[in-house]
Amino acid sequence: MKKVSVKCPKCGANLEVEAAEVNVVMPVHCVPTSIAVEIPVPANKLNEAEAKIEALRNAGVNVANLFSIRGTDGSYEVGRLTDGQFAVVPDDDPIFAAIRASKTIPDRRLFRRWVMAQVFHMMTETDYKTGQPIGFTAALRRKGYKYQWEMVVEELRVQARLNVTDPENFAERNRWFNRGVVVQMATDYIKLVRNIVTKLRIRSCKGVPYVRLDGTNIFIKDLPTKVYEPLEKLLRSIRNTRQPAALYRATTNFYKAVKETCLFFDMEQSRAFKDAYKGAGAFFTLKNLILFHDCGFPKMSQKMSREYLYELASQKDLEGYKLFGILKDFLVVNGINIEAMRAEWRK
Amino acid sequence: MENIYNECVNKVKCGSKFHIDFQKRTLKIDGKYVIKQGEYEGELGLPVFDDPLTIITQLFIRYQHSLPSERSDHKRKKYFNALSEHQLSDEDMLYGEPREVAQIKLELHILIMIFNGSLKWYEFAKDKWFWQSPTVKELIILKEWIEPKSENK
Repeated sequence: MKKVSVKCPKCGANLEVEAAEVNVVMPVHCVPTSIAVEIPVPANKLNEAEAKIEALRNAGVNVANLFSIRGTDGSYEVGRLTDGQFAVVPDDDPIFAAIRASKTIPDRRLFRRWVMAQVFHMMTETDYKTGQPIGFTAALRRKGYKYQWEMVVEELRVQARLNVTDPENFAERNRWFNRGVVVQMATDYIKLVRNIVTKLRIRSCKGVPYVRLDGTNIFIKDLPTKVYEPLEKLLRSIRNTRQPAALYRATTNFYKAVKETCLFFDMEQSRAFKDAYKGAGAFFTLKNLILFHDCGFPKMSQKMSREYLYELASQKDLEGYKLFGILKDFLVVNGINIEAMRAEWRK
Repeated sequence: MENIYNECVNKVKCGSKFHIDFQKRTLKIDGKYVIKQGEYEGELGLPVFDDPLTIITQLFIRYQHSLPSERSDHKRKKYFNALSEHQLSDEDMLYGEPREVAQIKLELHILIMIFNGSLKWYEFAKDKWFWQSPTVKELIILKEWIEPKSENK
């Protein structure tokens, strides 16, 4: 029998009665003038079309133009509003077919199409004066030294979160940007600072020599204690991290010290960073092209191409620049001419 | 400047900031006036067009589907609305122009069309206070941009 919860408006006592009962015995002091009866209302059950839309929404697909509509036979369908025209979305629509075929959902956040877009734009970046392509490495250098730290700090922040929520995605990203890369970047930075200091003009204050490092005056005898040792200590803290969240915090601290010590636009970016950047860029671009742009490695199906890509990435000795070379070759094999496509887009 | 349109677009491509004010008829590049209250030195760089609205519509579509960046998102004043990242297709993302470049191409084109007399309000939107493109509904040009209030009669 269904139970009904009854609440006394005076004393607040909760009584549970069966729905069929009509007589409720109440204390005399609270003879009801009105009784609040709480009957649990069942949540609206989603029809089939609404359930499909809800599933797509949860997957991050834009469902702004999708609606649930009811046909004359009483069945529910998913409808789409395009340019003022309303049409039923068939079951073999690309939005569903892609999910079924690859067992994946084309979620732009998950598949990092920004990375692919950035790779394409950087590959075709041109020189300001001559208008000739400068290449990916030069385009990366053009972003400046600060970019490498900002990018890595943000990447590690996301990784720290993914480590908890999405281990699979974390593993893909951590393959390229990891503790080893950050340690190398920090080591390179300390070397850079030492080089910069040796080239600075030695000034003198009451006979005591000092240098001006990025606007800060430091006595030469204080350089080890005020510049190098704090950086070395922070480097050790990065090296000792075991968890992604700890690595993120340690890297943030090191970057803070970088900003306080010296940070110039034209400082040489770390080789480890450039390599990881190319590797991650190439990997996610290849993955996107294979999954959503009907591209593949020669004589391989989509599934085989994807497996081959994962196999390549699993090789520990495969450096990022090599995978980038594979990407360039992949674009040629699949007939993707970025400049031609861009000219086509502008029409 | 020998060719204001081309040189300004190139400067923005190279990272310069810009600001266009239709009503005051000004163009600033990196905080310096290139066109000040309708006065400039050199050539504007665009010919007179018989049907300027067609080209403006094309430039608007390019701007609408252009690739946003942190730099373009932080721009304070925009005359036209572009699509946000999640509304762009993969093709837009891969092959689209940078948004700030598409923006200066569109806005400076309109400003120059006002200067060289190609864009005359009474010819395409007489008795209206705004004009909406019949093909691209998002493209709206206000009368006060073309004929500032002080000149309205």
